[in-house]
Amino acid sequence: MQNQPIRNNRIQEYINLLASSSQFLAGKLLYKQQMLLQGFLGYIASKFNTNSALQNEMKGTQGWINVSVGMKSEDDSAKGTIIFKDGTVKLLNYIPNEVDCTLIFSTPKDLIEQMDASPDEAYRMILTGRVRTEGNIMLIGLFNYYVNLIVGRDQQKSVDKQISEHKKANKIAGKEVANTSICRNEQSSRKITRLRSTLIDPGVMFLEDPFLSNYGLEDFPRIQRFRSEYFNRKKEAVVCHEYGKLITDFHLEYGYDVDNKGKTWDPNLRKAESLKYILERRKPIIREDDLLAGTYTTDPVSGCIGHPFAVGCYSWGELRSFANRELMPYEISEETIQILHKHVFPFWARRNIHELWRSNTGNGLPIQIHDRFFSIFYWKTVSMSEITPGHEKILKHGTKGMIKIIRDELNNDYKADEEKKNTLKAMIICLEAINIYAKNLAQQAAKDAQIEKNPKRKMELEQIKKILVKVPENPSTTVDEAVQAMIIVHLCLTMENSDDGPMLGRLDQILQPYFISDMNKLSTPEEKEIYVKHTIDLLGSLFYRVASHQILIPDIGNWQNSGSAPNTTITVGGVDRDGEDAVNDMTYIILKVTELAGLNDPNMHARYNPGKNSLNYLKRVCDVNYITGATPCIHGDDAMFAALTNHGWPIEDVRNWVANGCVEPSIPGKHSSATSSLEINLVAPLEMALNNGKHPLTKWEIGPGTGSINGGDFITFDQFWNAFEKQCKFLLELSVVGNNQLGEIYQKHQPAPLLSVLIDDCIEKGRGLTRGGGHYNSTGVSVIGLADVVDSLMVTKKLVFEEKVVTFKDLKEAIDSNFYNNPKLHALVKTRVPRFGSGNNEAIEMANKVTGMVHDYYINQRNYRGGIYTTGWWSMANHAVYGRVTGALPTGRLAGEPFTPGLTPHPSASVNLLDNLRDVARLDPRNLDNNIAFNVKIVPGASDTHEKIVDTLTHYAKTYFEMGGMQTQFNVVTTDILKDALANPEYYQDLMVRISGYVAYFTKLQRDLQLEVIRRAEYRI
Amino acid sequence: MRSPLIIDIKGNSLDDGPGIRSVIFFKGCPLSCVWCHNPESRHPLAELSFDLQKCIGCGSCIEKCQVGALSRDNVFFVDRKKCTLCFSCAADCPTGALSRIGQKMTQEEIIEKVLKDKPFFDSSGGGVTFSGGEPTLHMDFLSGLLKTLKEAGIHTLIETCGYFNFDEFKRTILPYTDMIYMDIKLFDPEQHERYCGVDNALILENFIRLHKLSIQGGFEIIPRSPLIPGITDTEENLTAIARFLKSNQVKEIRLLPNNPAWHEKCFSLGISDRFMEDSPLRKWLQPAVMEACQCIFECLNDSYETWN
Repeated sequence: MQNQPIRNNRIQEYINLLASSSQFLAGKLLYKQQMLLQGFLGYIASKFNTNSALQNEMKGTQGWINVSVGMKSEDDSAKGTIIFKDGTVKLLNYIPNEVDCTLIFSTPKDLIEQMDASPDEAYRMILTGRVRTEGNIMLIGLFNYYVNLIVGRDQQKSVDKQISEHKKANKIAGKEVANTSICRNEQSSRKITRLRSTLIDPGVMFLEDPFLSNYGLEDFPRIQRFRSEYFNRKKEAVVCHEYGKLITDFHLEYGYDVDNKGKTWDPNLRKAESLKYILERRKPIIREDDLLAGTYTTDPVSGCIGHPFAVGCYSWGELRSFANRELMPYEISEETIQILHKHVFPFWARRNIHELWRSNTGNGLPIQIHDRFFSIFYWKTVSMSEITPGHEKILKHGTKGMIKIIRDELNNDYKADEEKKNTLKAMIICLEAINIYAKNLAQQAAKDAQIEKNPKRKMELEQIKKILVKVPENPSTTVDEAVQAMIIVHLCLTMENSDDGPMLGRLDQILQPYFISDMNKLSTPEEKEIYVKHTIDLLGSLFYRVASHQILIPDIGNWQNSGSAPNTTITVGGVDRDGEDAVNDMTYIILKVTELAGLNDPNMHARYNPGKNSLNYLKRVCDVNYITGATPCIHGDDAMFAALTNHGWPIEDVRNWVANGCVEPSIPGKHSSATSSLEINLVAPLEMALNNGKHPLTKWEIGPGTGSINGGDFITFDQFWNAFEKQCKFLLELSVVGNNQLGEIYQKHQPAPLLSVLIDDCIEKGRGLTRGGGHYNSTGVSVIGLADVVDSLMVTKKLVFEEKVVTFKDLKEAIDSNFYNNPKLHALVKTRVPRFGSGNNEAIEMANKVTGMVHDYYINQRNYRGGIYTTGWWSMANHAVYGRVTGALPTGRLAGEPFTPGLTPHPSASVNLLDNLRDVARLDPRNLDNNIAFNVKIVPGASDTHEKIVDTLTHYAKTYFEMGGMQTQFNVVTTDILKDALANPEYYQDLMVRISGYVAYFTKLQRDLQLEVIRRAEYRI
Repeated sequence: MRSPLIIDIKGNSLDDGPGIRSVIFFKGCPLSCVWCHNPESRHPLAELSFDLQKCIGCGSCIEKCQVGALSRDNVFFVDRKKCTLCFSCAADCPTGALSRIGQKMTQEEIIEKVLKDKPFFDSSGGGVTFSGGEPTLHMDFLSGLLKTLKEAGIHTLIETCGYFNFDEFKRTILPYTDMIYMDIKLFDPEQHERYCGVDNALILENFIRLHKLSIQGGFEIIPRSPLIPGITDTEENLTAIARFLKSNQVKEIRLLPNNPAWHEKCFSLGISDRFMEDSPLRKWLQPAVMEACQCIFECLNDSYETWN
């Protein structure tokens, strides 16, 4: 997600200047690249050296903002260095060793092309290794910031040109839609029919119609208002500087490596004090009309926190282009730009996770792989917080009670070592800090109430104040208190950790006891009905609060995880610790709020336990999925239980599992899970096996030599399998090494004392999460490209080694030529061999063999906390990202095309959806212990009724899960709707699609991914 | 036992009976309806199909053909007079553009293919539908399949034109059948003979006899009428059918709107399509026409249930 070297025609101004000069013409003949490079850098330097406004930009609050950047082509035919130092800019025609960072172009031609590329082309160049970076990535951002000051206007022109070209192409695609009004009506008509239910699950105590069919959005003006403000906001989010400024202020005042007395800071105490500093000083905000106090940022509708030590560090170069970029444009004020550029980012330039990783490991192989995007992405460069904390601890004990528990531990453990003492002290500081923030909010609520004219709102504000005086310091006793306490703790957790998480967990199980207690206090049916309605309203506030923060995402991240929200997950349904049906009133209330809110975040998950959960509940889940088009995602308990108990975890804990982030399992309140730590391209080792260790597109001879196809080294398929396995293990080993290096950096620099309070055993052990304090410790991996690998192996096995239809050499030659030289073979490989998802036994065996091989490797590795690695088969948007860096495959997939999302079978595997469902259900769940993402795009027939569609979805889901399916996500949408949305996005602002694990608004997706979603197989109901 | 050729086994069907179903298409039909929307199912023998859309023009089939039946100069590509139906071109074709329609399958093979979806049948109240072509052309074979499915607890449905020997049907098919969809296309015998190739007396008689039997329980029979513009959707025809059903106390009918998709298939089978581009048979039925047709049934008797 890092690095954005020079892109598009940002130096157009310079090229124009040069084009007219005779010097340039000479250069064109002889040293074109070198001349261009030197000329470009010289132009930048002269501007900065002569313009006082630009010189002022080089001056920060902590001194001059310096950077030295080398640029060269891989063959060294062109090179140069630009040095911004102490207010002046110098050039060198060589690259010294101590340079901060270097941009390397694969060929001299790439250097030229990059200068003239559109943003999309520029990112494609980065993602396909034609441009890469070495060195401090945050400082490359600084260099880009400087360059932008000079040629920003030209850059913007190129962005605008691309936007208008896309619009034009989209309009053309939209013309294929026969009837646009049917498309536009279809979406809204789903919300009109409401199914009723008179069947009552055993855990439902109050709702007469669990589907709550009496309520529509019109009954909740507050949710309606939040919805309208959210979907009509001008920009994706406001970039806020509050967090960045406060954490930087703190360290400037109190030190980083050492405290202001010169003593080495204990990392936990430092982190806790910084959290306290932030929470004491951040602005207490109660959004107008909101039932819940507190915000993630200073913008209550949608803001970016932008942790400068993690994801925030990649955005320096884009501060001035955020506002007008094509994807996810942000609003940012000049004040915020100045604060981030001059005050915040300079401080973190050498203290961010990525740079600490690089400098601590001497730019080792893992970080080199990471920076070249083609095979492993180490997510810890962004976050480690895909964890579900035990929110009940705060609800039950209050922060006061938790402080007492920690104090008692501190006082009673005479043998406590220094680390334990510091860790526990840090926890107490964090909990006290939460109370300070809550008190500030209470005061604000009182102030707001005082000046409020509307008597109803005044009462609400007074009630909010009353609640805030009590919680989260004291135990919660009502639903209102519990939800307020939870969200405050969540806000504070995102002030400590990256905000892609932490999760909210089993909200229905957490809230039901409070709901029962509240309802039992009411006597009349009318009072009870009003309270149910209030609860829906309250959770509406919660949902829109969760949706109000966005991860500060650099533009290249819009390619990698396009349209992804922070993914704060909520899980409902399933069974309780004793294995009994856990569906209750709150389950249905939360499903109703999911239907009404229509949001992609919180990322909603429903567990279905065959045999325990009712069909009626599953039907309601499918109903909400149909109405929203894409959410909730549905999970099968049987398969997940089999996967997790295989780790030796007791069934009682496993029964409590929740989905984290995208889909990954975590045991709430007990599990330090970091479930999306590694994103592995499984096709890379396959390509390396085909090329004797060399990765073709990056031209990098990185892997071990495992045999040459042209040299005739593969006589049997098993020999080729062995080569693939060897390349695989070579990369997987590096993934473990790199992740563990990053883990140690978190231990020293970004521990999480507050999050550790909410995970079992951390207090007793006196060790934070990063130090292995949690009861369960694991690291989660997502492996991308399963169907493409399995199908490729099948084609090789059948056509080369068994049927001998083609020699391996000829197949390899066809692949290398992108099948250009052999269209007949191209057709043959696409049709002759049964694929994963076709119902073919051999293909399933191959799929189990591949998943088994990867899982068996990971399960035997240990992370830096002593835990296991778990293997998942979901892809976020990486099936498109990794597809771009991959050449043609034996399956006939052409170079650059996306892989299938998650472990979804290829569309050509079968025309029968049931074959897909059956095959995925037949995978051994033990190899899928970090879950899967299985997309099913379903298209209702024109004359099908709402009930028939929902019933059919329910039958698919029920049968799939009874057969042992682990997860599925239905996208209920027609290709025509998607095409119309492409052409006319204004009608489809809230149209959601599941990518692979997460949900995105279709109109906000990066265009390649939009096309990928359109191309997916669709199955008519 | 004479075994039929199977055109296709289609899984996950939601339109051929209740719930999620598998549909088995038999090849061959005693009728020859001019609008038949499965033209590939009429002939009982195997046929060669050529799908122009799939062809990449590699030309290897032309070399493969021993009798020179394939040529780019031929609009249909396949010279059906020369073709000996050896299917070696289809075996060689890399894209499946050339393919054999009609496969020999044993009862065991068919059963194995449909049984894997039994869990979906069970949870949705679905099952297996026999269609075609005309499945009752092969009563022994069909009977064996039905019996096995019945024993496995699977719901069975037969889509039939009704042109069969009643006694044999009653003896071999009925005991293992849960539901019958029988077409009543045209009421007038002459019209029926003209458009469907056979007289309809046997069909109507079979329908009445089965309907009477069904009242005693054990199976259901539902009449269906295809609405073919200008041929079957006339007021005269539909009123006659409605009267016939009413006089036999039949309370339900399914109306099937014209499906023009089949015209595309004619080319691949080398059949020249007898309907012009602008023929109403090449269009979907307008909803208004559909409603008018429904009205004919519902107006005659308000307890009628028409669905499509």
